[in-house]
Amino acid sequence: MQSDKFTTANGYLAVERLYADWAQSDALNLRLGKFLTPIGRWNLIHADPLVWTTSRPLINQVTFPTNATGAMLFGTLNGIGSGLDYSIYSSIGAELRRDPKQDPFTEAYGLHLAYSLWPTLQLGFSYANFEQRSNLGNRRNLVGADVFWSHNGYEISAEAAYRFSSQGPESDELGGFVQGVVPLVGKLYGIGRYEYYDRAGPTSGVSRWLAGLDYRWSRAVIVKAEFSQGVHNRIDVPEGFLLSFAVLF
Amino acid sequence: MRPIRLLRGAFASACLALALSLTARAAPSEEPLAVVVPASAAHHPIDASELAAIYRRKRRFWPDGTVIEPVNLGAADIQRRHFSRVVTGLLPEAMEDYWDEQYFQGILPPRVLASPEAALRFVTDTRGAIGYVPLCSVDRRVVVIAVVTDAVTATETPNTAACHH
Repeated sequence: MQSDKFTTANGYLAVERLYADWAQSDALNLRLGKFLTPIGRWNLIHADPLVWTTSRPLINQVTFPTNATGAMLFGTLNGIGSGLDYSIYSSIGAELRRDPKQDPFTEAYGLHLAYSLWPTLQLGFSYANFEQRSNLGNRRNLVGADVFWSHNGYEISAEAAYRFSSQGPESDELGGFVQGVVPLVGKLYGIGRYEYYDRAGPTSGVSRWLAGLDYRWSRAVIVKAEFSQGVHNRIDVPEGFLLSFAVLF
Repeated sequence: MRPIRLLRGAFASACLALALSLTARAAPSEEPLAVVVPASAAHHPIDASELAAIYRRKRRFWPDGTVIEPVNLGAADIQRRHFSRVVTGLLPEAMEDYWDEQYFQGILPPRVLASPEAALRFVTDTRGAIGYVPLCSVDRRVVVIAVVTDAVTATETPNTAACHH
């Protein structure tokens, strides 16, 4: 919006996912096209009706491109305990319908594993080796872990990631979050989250606390209200009050 | 004397209630469930982990490559709740968030049918189908490949002696 009128001058049609799958078996599937980058758990289910907060954790915002265009092998290895989910992907070349605000992969290879220890506890591991458009020649590595536990409406989720490269500590990024969800009364839930994010550059890391209330009108409709506050916020991490309404269809 | 008579009467009533409860038919939630596939299909007994993988849509193909078509009873159905608790470790409502996430990935939950007879007909007529019905409801249209009580037992020869009383 400019001055006192709306404009579509800077609008663009965003394509977050566009792919074709071929299933050879439970253990072997091939995906071609644009897909969500298999790093962590939040990025793979970040649709607004499926997450508890309006704001996205800092470690999932710019540390890695949230989409990849390329090929991915994925499936479930059912012979390993309760079944090991895996994704192996590669992205070479141009991004399909690039989001102008994102710094896409120019080349990437990665692996994501997920395993359910119990029906209520899932663990994940991520690794990626990649190069991004804005920093050609800087080969980056990322390792990450995620955990999710839920029971009777209570949830605890956590993710952490560390990105490093040959350029040294100044270009490294490190961060993570822990989030808890508590059923309060009826369809009302309380959310609390702590994050730490140390982005590339000379500034020290920042912490951010969040407290929120969600009202789950139905399985498909959720209203979210949250307040977040940064600590030692020298990088202008967004803070304050957010309110949103999300519909799953 | 009167208090003693009251105590005797209460004791007798309690004994009668206990006797009746021991001889009563098992509550529906305790009734064994038969996991069934079409009688015409190639089949093998399946164990708890394989059955759980099928009903979480982690296993989508039979060994011959046929697409598995699992079917559930309604979420409020006692047999569904029994099956879900034993096989997946979770009640149907506890899996709603899981299915929302799978839906986001393009994977739909097992289809839901209204009754065991509907499940039998669907399994009979659908290639690759698998479902569950009360053990005593099984007929020649389907073959049993597991029995669900407090656990999953892989078997093609269930004990149906109790069904003939």
